[in-house]
Amino acid sequence: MAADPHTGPTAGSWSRRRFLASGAALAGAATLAGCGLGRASTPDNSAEPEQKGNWSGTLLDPPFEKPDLTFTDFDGKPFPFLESTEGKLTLLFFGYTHCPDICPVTLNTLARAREGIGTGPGSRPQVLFVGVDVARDTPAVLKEYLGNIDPTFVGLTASEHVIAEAVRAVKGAPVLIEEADADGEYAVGHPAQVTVYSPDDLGHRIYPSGVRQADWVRDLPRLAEGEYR
Amino acid sequence: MSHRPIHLVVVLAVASALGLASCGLVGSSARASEGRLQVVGGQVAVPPNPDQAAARFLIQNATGVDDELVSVTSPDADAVAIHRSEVDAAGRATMTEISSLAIPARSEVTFEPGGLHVMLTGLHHRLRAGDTLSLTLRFAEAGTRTVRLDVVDPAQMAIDPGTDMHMEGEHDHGG
Repeated sequence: MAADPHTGPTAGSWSRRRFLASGAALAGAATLAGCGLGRASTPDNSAEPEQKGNWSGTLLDPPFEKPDLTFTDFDGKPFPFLESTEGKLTLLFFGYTHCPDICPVTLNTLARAREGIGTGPGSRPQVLFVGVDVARDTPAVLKEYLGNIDPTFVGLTASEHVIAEAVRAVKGAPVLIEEADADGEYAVGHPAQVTVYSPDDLGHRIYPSGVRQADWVRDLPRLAEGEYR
Repeated sequence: MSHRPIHLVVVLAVASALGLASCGLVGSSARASEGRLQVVGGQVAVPPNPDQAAARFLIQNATGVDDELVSVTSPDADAVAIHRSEVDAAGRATMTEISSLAIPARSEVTFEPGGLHVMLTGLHHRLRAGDTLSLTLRFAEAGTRTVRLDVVDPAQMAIDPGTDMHMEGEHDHGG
C-alpha cells in the first residue's frame, strides 16, 4: 500500500518534540505576523518558486475509489456520495462536533485557505464533514457547527455501519467511541486525515492533520485543475 | 542630552505595550521575567460548538525549579480539563486527559492546536470575538496564576498552524 498518511513531510508536526521549538518561535511568529494581519490569509508569495512535486500530503498510488454510499446531509436530504460529488474537487473529513481541537482547526484552516485562494480554481472545493459521533452529530447540530466555520461546507451523517464503510474506503483508522463516564462524557477517536477526490472522481491525495493554510492554498488550485503529482 | 535615552526607553516600552495589547501576546522574551513562572498569550478561538472551547497559551517557567501544572479552573465553564490531542500510529485522532503536566525549570510549554489545550465544557455564555474568559492555573511550586484569555476569531489565533512556526528540519520522522 502506497498510502501511509504518516510519512508525509508534515506528519507528526504536532509531536511533543516540537513544543519547545514552537514556544521559542511563538513570540517571533506573533510579531512577524503583524499581530495576526500577516498571518497566511493570502497566498504565500514568499514561498520558493513552485516546482513539480512540491506538494503537501501523500500521493495515493493506486488512487482510492469513491465509496458507493448514501449519507444524509445536514438539511436532512439524501446525499448519494457518487452522484453528489461527481466531477467535483471534494475534500472528505471525518470528525465530531464535540471535538474542540483537531476538527475545528482542520476545518478553519480549510476555510481560510478558501479565502486565501479567493476566486478561481480551488476556491470552491466541496468540503464534506462526516459527524462520526452519530448520537450527538445530528443534522441540526452539524448545520450550526459548520455554519460557524464556513457555510459552504456540507455536514453529513449516516448509520455507524455506513460511516465505518466510508472510513474503510479511505483506509482510515476505524472510529472509536468510548464508554460514557459518570457525566455522560465520552472520548471519540476519528481518522485525522483529509481525503481529496479530484475532478476525475478518484482520491489521489490524503493530507494528515496539521497541514498549514499556505499548503492548501498551493495545492487546491492544482487539484481543482486535475493535477495531483 | 541626558533625556534622550529615557525617551528611547519610553518609546520602546510604549511600542512593547501596544504590541502586547494588539496581539494579546506578551512580546518580550523570558529575559524580562527571569526567575518567574508566567502564563502568557492566552487565547480562545470562537468555537463552532457554542458549548465548549479550547484554550491555548504559553507557560514560561524562567525559574530554576521544576514545576507541575496540577489543575485548571474557570468561573466561565462547568468543567475544565487539560487535554492533549494525539494522532496514533493508525492515523486516528484522539484526546487524552492529563491529570498533571510537568513544566521543567527554564522551559516553555506551548498549548497549541493539535497538541495541548485546556478544554472548557459547559460554557456559561456564548463566546464572541472581543470577549475575555478567566482561567486559573495552579502549579505545585509557583502557586496560582489567574489569566484572562482573549476570545478571538479563529483566523486571528496567534498560535495556529496557519502561522508557520514549525522549524523546518525539526519534523518527527521517528514514527
